[in-house]
Amino acid sequence: MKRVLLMLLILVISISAWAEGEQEVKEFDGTLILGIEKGDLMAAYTATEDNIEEPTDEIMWYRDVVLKDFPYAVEIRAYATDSLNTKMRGDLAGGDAPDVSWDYLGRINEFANSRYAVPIELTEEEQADYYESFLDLCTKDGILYALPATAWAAVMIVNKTLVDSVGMGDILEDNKWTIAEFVNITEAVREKYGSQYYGYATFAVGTGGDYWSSFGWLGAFGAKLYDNGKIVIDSPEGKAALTFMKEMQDTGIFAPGAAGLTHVKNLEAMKTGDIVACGNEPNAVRSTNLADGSGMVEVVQMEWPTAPGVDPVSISMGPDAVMLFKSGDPVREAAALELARYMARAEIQAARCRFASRFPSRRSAMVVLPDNIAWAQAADMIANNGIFDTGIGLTKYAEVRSLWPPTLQAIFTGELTVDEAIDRFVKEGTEILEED
Amino acid sequence: MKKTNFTAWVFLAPALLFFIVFSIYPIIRSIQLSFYEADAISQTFVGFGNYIKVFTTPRILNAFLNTGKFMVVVVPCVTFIPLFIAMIGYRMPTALQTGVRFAYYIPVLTAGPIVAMIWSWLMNPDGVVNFIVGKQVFWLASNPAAFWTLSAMIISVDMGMTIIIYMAALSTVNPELYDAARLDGCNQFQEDLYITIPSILPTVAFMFFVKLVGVSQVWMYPFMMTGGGPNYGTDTVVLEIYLQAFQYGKYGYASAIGVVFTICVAILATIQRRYFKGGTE
Repeated sequence: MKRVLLMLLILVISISAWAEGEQEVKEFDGTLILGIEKGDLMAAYTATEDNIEEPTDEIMWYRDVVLKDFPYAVEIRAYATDSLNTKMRGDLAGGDAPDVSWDYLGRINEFANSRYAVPIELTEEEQADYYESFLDLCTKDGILYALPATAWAAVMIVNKTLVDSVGMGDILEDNKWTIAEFVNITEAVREKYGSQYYGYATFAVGTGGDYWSSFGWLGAFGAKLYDNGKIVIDSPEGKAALTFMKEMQDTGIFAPGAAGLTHVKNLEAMKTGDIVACGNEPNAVRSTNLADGSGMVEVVQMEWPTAPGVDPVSISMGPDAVMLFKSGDPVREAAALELARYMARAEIQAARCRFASRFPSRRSAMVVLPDNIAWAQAADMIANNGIFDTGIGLTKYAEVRSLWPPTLQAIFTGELTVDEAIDRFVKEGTEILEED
Repeated sequence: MKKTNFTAWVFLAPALLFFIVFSIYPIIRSIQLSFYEADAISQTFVGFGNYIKVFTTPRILNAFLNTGKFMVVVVPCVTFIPLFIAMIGYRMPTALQTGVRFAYYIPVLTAGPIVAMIWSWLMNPDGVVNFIVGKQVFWLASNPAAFWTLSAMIISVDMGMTIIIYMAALSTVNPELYDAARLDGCNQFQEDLYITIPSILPTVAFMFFVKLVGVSQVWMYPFMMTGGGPNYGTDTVVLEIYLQAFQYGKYGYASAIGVVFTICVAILATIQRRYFKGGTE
């Protein structure tokens, strides 16, 4: 009997080993679907179009140029930005989710979790190459659900021409300044040119520009929005930051009507020439001609001005990430993981940093852009100052984020006090986070 | 089944099929979904949980309140101002009548997002309206100005079709009634009060009903112009349904809001129809 059992055991082990061996040699021979945000695709295509001998359309370009060395067939599915999550949910419900999705983490974090995503295990080499803070954004309950790609960063762009004209250009000599200096400059500008000039244009309509508009000011006071996935803006620093913003609005240092201003005001800030500073990405606003043709504005890049005792001010960042949707087919998922790794590899990150002034999540992709002083300055700021936690890695990030504009609006319109508005934000935001 | 019935069913079948698939089924599915916490791939039964949340969430209750305010302000305006304009316009020469129809119908022909952009530009702090009034008013950035601005915009956009319908209704009034009234010494105001308005009252009642339902569903203009703000001041129920379902992926919760909202509108519509029915009798 023992001998029979032993024989059976050997047989089972042999079959298992054979089957395992068979699986190893099984190759993926289908077509992978890569979901990618259309705007991003277009941006990548437009930026490198000149390098293509025979430009086709952006999807063909992506397949033929970017993915040319990838071993498996890939179908590219471009999603419109505004409806990306809705379409993605529809594809999921219909059992037709892409194998790999590359998009802004603020959108795909809804899916980059245990319900939908395939966990990713990094090799030791990869682990060492990625910046830990980026990996943390893609990690939930200790499991990595997406590979971080490149990120934008929010810095302050200052109208040097305007500041020089009031004789205070020396403050801008290094890229650090204080809130007192910012206010002094703005007051001098307003005194010289009139009350239609402002220090800054914060805005509170939509969620498109909260990073540029308000998070910098939170960082300037050393306030945090999140800490370990919990909302902590109800701190003395948080209240001080929002009280300061309200005061600036009431005294005219910030452009009036912030409760109704949109990101457009921010983007146009240097073109109109009537604003001392605005928030934006490094290189997004360069020295430019005024819209009315009356002259030119020279801009410099600064850190956000800091409140007393705060140094340095943390930088808001938003990375793209690559995630794998579960398909239930291990062979397909293995091929998809290869595609995800291919998309997040250093070469692609470095290229993207070059043409879009973004910042890599991998050390090996940290490129030096010799002619790009703004980029180098921002890279230094990120390295030295740390990243402001916008909560971008949270599954409910987008929903909580939608509570922020009404919070600012309530403060700016005076309908709620700073304390009341913060309490409401914390209560509603925490309830949403607890649903997860 | 009689042959005539069978033929009728055959002709009705395509329309019925569409109606069942695209109207009846979604309604039933929405009601079912409202009892679930539902996302893209899973549903968990939560009983009346979503409904309790609807009635205990200040943001949603505020959206119901705002929608009610829009209905109270906009529906009478888009029902009765066009009646007034149509009655004046109908007395004009034919060429001028065409002009009135054309002028008021243009906004109806213009795409909503374009209208929203034009109004946003007009009402901008640095816009034309503030230039005319000579001071900086935050039409879309303060409360209750944002509500009144949106109301004015919806009223201006929504009147064109109603004017056309009223003018068509006015053409059906028997002219002999006016002749008789004039012989009896009626002035123009009395003609309108005792002949014109009673004659077209069923049309007015119908338009009131249509506008009641239409205005209750306002969402595009707040979505585009204020995002429901400032501070939820122009947030509406349908905007919340859109946000909860398509922005936040909470299909069950959005369905519950939709069901409660449908019941509210149905109750209002029933009251309105009873009232107007009594009036016409």
